[in-house]
Amino acid sequence: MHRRNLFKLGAAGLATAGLAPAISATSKQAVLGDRENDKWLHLGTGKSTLPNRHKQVDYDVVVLGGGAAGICAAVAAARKGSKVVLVQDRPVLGGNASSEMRVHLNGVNRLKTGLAERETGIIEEILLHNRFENPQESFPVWDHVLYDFVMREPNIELMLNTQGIEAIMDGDKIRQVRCWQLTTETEYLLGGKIFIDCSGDGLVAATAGAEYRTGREGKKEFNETFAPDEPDGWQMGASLLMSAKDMGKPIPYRAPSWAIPFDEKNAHKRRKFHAYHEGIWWIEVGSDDDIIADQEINRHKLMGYLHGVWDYIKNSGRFPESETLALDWVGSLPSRRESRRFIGDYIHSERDLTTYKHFPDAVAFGGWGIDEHNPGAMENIHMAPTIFHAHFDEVYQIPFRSLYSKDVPNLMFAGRNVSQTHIALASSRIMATCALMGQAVGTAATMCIEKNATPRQIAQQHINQLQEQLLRDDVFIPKRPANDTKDLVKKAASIFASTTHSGNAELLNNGWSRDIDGKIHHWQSVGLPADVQVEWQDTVKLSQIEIKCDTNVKRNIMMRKDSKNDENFNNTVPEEMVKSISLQARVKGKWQTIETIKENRTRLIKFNFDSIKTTAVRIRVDETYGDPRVKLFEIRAYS
Amino acid sequence: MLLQSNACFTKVIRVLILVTLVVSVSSQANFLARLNSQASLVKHDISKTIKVEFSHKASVDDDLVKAKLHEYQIDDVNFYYMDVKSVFCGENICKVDKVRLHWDQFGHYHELELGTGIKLEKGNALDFELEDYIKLDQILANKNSTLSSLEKFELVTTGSTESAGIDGFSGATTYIKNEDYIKGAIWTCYTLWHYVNGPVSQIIRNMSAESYSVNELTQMSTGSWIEQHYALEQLSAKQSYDAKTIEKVLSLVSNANLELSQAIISYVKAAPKRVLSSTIIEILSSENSHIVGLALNLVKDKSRQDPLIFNAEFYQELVKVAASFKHYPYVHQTLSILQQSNLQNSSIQARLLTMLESDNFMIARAVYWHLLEFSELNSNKMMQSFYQFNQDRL
Repeated sequence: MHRRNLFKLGAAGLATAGLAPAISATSKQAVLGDRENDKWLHLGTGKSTLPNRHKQVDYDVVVLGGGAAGICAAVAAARKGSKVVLVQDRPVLGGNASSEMRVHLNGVNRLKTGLAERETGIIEEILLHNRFENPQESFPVWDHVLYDFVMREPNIELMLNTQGIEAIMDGDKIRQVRCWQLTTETEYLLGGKIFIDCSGDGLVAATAGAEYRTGREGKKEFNETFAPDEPDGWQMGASLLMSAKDMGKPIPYRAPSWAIPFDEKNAHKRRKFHAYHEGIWWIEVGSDDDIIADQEINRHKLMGYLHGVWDYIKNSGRFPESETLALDWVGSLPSRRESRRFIGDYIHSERDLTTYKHFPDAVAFGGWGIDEHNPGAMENIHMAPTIFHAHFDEVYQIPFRSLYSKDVPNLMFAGRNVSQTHIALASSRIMATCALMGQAVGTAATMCIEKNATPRQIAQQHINQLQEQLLRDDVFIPKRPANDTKDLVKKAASIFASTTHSGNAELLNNGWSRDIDGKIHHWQSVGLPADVQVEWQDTVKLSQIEIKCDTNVKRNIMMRKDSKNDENFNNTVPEEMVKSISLQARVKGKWQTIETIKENRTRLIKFNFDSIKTTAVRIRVDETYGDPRVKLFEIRAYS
Repeated sequence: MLLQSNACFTKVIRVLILVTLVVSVSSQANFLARLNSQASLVKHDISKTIKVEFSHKASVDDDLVKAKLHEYQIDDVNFYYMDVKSVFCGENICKVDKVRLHWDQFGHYHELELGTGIKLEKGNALDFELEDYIKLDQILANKNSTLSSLEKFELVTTGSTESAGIDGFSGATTYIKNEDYIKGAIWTCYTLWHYVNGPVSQIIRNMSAESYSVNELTQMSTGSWIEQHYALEQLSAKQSYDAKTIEKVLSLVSNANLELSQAIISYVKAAPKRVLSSTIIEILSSENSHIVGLALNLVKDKSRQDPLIFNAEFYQELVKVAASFKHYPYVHQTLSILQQSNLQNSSIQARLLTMLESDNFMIARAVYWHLLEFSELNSNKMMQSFYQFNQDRL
């Protein structure tokens, strides 16, 4: 039976088929799907019956929220072997970056060096997938790229149009999450061992009793220089974007009745109109109270502000070039920056970022400037829309202890709702940074299950193993080189290359998977084809070879509305990436080709094969996506 | 407005411009005064003029460009200039000016001169500002510019607000660094960069070499990096492979860094057959790790292209030298060369057999596998003994 039929069969069908995860009869805790008053005549059967609107399914890991953080959490946990359900309350994946909101999936786009320090791991794999599948750079197609990325994972069940609304507890632990699936009128009780709230607002975590806060900390609490003197309730707002296209002829525009006129006279000079046809991020409204309760009021305001600004552009006479422009797309769903921040065993704060604090439990990094949008946003039009309090020379670390709840032992977070101050959030809220947190907690979730441990126990007893796994899976952790004792390349006697243009083949074994902190950690060939050979003194048994190739992490690859293509942004597949590569092994003195990959699409290249006994392997690269040389950063071997 | 005087000839001197980037306001004012002075194009005593034809990446229909190249001296050092059109414009809507480009004796960009009243133009019919000239000077001096790989079909007239209909580049496929072009003037940058760093540069290198004797070039090979590189290139071009010159070049081997090693190998690569083998063996006998690997690659490439270029005697010498290699990858490369040559005589095999006793087990193992596959020595006592002793590690 095809696994995607799972939700079509219903509980009875699955029970018959003997499938895991198990679905039980309607829970006594099910309350939303009670339909005892229905008067339904089913003409197909000729019977009167009641619809079944209760389902209960158990998984290993329940991930709430299908944005960048949630997708990475789900994929990481699933690839490590957990049965995962990914619950998303919208019809599409992607959160703020989805076609519903269209925010650029930014990361460490530019440090003070002028260069990016791009995120790798699952989020890079997603962005590369998009470069192959969506060269037209369409946001609706991007939704489907994400859908494909999730659906191809056999261990993930995806539930769209489904919102987690309540945690059902077993003591201090979450046992199930009550969900409502809008399109099927169905209540789901999703059981799990580990729960990861990547939903941004964190409703489920809040109902689980996990402590959270909203608003801005005062300076004193965390010794933050950029915080207000005294704490207050302000939270950064949500934005509503739009796009316009040139119709080639004059197009009139009349604002709708609910438009709010743009207050040009009082608008701060930094409310700029650069590239306004691709949306204006400062059309934004925040709150100093309960921002979640205010969302629908704010949405209406934002729609009014958006049309007011567009009316100003079209009809004020200040933008004559807008005469032929017409709105092509307008958002109806504001993209949120801030609401609840849950409290973990550590609260990440400003000085951790600005002093590049080293955490022994670092699992992710950030580097977007501290970009604090101003209180009130459009409602304080006289203020600058944002203040970049600081930019960074290098990336900063994010500790694992800020990614799980201090109160609920089987609850983790990734994204904007993690344990951090308002000022730290002003930097770390960027989606690719959130995605790194997602991969970290997803990986940790499976470790929790394997070891029957809580996230806190992972932090205290197994953090080295978690970090090593993340590094192996191509996450970069600043100041933390890999040192995996299972990696047999560590025991190799010689690593050498056919030619060397820069770097050194021996650097492929030094634990660093990118050039960083002014140091080279790569090998680059003179030309192509080129090969690298790893040789051992004694025979070794191998069944896996893993390679990290260059994708130029100093140049961004996220999709942008302007399709920017310069030294900082790339709108195609990185030319540096390996395209055609083969693995050979020397067995009893004879070289054998183990596998050839003709159309590689990832930075982390994996060869999995039946175990062989060998004394040397050779990696041969025949082609990149355009670069006449090849650059590699790491080779690993496992038995 | 800068560069405004209609009566004046304007000269942009690279060194001066660079100085203005860092000097005080008063010095900059001095510089501007010079720009606006009545000076004409600098007159030089031309020692030689040649007609040249060369390809240019921006040339319409890929026609060869015909021009005159002039040689002159400053303090007995050769310099060159050529008058060119400022821009090949893809859609014939660019303003074309006469530009005088200067090179040094090594074919490196030296400076750019403009005639009276000539002002280069960028988008929207705007004249270049001072900072644009400064940037252009830096662009032309950068040999590693991303303009080098840009093809002219990637340059388009976009008509967008940003490029103001004069010139631009298609954002769809082009990758070019901001530092490599001036907004609105990419055709100009592209045209001039390829004049400066295209085939003319090599023509000048060859032309200036005519004034140097082999002896002078040989002496130059011990000079600065630029001189060394130039000397090795021109010695090669002059086919100077006499014993004295080779000895001088080989004297550079022991202390050569990677870049110089590459230049030496390029020199050796063009050597006539009669000295090629012995020169390579000399290099392989050195202990400079930079150059040994390059030399082995050269042998591999050469023998792949021409299997008869090296004789049996060479391979015997190669194996003799390889027997003392401590670095396993060099032995690996040597064996790979032998396999490619298909030459396995008894003398070579005898030498290889001794390597079964190498202190480096990987060397011994590689030799063992080589001999097992490419010789008839499987019943040889040393081979059998090696197998018996190491069978678990093979």
